[in-house]
Amino acid sequence: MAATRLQFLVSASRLSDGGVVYLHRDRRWVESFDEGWRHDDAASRDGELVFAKSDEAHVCNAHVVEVGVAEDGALRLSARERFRREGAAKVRVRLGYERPADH
Amino acid sequence: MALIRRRLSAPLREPRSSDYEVVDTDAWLAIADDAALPAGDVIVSLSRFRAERELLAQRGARIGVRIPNDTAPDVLAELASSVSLLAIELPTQRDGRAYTVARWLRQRFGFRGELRAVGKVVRDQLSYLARVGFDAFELSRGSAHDALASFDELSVHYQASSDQPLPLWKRAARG
Amino acid sequence: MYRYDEHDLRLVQERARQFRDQVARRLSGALSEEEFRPLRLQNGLYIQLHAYMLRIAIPYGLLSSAQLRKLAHITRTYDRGYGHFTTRQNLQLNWVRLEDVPTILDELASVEMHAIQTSGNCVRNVTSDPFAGVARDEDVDPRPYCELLRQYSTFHPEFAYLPRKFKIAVTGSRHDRAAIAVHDIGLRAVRDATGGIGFEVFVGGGQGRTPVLATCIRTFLPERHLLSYTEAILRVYNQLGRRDNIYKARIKILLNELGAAELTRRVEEEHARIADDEGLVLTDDEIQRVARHFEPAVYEQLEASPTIDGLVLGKDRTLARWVEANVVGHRTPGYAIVQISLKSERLPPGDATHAQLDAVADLADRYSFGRAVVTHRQNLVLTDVKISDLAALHADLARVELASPNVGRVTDIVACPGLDYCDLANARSIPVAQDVAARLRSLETEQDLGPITLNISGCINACGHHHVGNLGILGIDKLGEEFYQLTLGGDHTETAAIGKILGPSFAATEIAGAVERAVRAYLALRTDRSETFLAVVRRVGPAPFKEAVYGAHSTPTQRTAA
Repeated sequence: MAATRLQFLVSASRLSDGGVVYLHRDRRWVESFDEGWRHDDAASRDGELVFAKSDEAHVCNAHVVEVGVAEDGALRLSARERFRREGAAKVRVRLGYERPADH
Repeated sequence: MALIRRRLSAPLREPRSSDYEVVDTDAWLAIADDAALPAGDVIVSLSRFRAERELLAQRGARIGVRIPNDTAPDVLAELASSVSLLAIELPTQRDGRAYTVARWLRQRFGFRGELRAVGKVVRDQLSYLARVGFDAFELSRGSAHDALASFDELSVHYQASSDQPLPLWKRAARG
Repeated sequence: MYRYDEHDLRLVQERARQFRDQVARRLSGALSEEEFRPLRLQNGLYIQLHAYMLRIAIPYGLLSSAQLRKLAHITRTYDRGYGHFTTRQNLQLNWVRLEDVPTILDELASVEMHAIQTSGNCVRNVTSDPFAGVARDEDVDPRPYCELLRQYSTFHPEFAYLPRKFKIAVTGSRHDRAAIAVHDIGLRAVRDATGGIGFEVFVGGGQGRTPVLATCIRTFLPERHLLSYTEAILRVYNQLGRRDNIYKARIKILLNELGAAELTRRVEEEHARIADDEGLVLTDDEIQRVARHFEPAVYEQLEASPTIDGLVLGKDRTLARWVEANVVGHRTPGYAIVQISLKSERLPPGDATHAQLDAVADLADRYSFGRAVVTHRQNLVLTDVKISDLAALHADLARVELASPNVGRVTDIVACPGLDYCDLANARSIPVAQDVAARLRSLETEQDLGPITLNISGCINACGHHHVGNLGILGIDKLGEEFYQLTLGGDHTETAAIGKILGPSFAATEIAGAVERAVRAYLALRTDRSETFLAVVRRVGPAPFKEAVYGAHSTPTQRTAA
């Protein structure tokens, strides 16, 4: 496997419905993994995690997601975070509750 | 620190808010191990109680002892017959050993003094704590006046416990 | 079944109100998440991978048709139209919103249901034999004792914050359909020589990271001491159970560290102090009062034919196969116990849609006195069906995709929700179950494989009970990839055993093939059709299976996907 460097996202579960959210650069919670702020260094990551844990009015289970970034740009996530990123809609398709979209 | 205590006039029965009051000025003083003993009723650690038992007894004031929630039964037996107040430390909301300690103190060792919950004591535990035999609560956060309402949240109690010697089926006609 | 009186009803109504207030305080910030978490868990509300999950208690698995309809309504209104039956005979909703939960609890209370203590470190839903009350081998109906334990343990003030969760199962039959050997307390109701009822008391069984079969600490506990003895066990455990490591906090670890003799001595010592406490001793009147709720249905006097055996031999082969696998003899002539498989081709194991829940409610009303039971193998049971109605019931079930003829067979797979839903999981369970079932379905149809239990857990917490499956699959995470260990020889019945790991783990794409090779090995090894999979495993040991699964020169190194 190509050499990877580590990046970090701060993620959490939305208080209202438990949905997966990521912390945006301007401290908004967003559903899109790609819009989440990927940190290169531990200090900025830890600062955002402290904020995330204190933002109990909006989220719970704040935690850091480790992202391995390969030289070709491919991302490597734990199985858990891969499924969180895929989102709830994929679960229902995979389990047979909904047909995959035709396109 | 907000203190809630069962009214002296309240009968021993399942929790209800009218049996409890918020205490603004507590007669008991919690004394650190290295602090001088003031006049009046004091709560000291178990080690200080053991070291200065004679001295404490000669003061003519009531003695309270603060004990951890894993205090052994033989120690509970000894304390139950020799002090007026026991304060049990709840280290976390999730550590439930104090509940068994309280039942032993009340049922097995016949402790009649004040049993006080200290440490991590939150509103949503008060009813359970009251049922196992606690009659005073040092709330670790939030309004004590608001917390009184928690005693009325559940009015049905299936089991016997320290507050009620009979299970529901012996107290009420059941279907 | 047990019907609530005014006290029971008031309690669940008050509980819903209490939880509504707790949710409001969490949303307003008056409660921190750390403070709210144990409160929501005591009410079965988890945060899972993608959403909140609410676990609804189904005491000893028993449901009325009205309750089934309410569950259907709840899944339709507040969730996405389906629910998942669990190995603790409960129902899980996968997509609820926090602010809806108090309203769901109100809805449940209206049909005498709740979500109390379906999670948290407290006494959980008491489970039992799904054939209770109708099984031919039953000595004592366990359900009154389950209900007595339910009431005793509901909001028990002393035992809400135990070192860890605490699970109790009760059976009253010689064949153990309640898996009592893998519970913190397992009880088997028996009769002594004079007909008096008592319990064999087993303690310290469990699955998870350290699977242990329970130890018998009392051979005959008189029924009047059911609650006092339970209290003695809980008190000793609450005092001495470890709290420094959640993986060592169950009573099985305490039993192991103290030794069975010392744990028994402490329990007996505590019990001696409280055994005659009037707050704990049961009276005949109280036992009879609760037992009256479980009196047998009013059965008709029926003709001797048709018989179950006759249907199995009948011309309608689809019906015959279903009857053979899913229908069990009843103690009353002319009636049968019907197991409804929740293991179809389309949906995850244990799942039912709102339409299916409504349909089962209707069928229960039409054919089985309006009752259904959830099993710990994630199926449903109609306990009192006339044999003469079986063909019609089968046709009705087929219309809602509930006629899979596979109960107790290899495609009747038990599976936890796994990494598709669960926050604790390391790997997916449901797609593996679907793969294995798809691969084995034709083999099962062509060959009579007989009874084989196959259980899948997505992590070492073992909610899919893989340790006690004849074949067990455990999902593990290896550097971000899902892998699966295969175990052999587990058994959840009265001959309980913990399965043993067969060899190196398999990639997700390989595990179904490995299971098929193990099943084909069984076909080759059995002396005849009457020798079950488990019997063969016990006779020949793991070696021939290992050879079949891994090849003659199985390598000890990690196998990976091609």
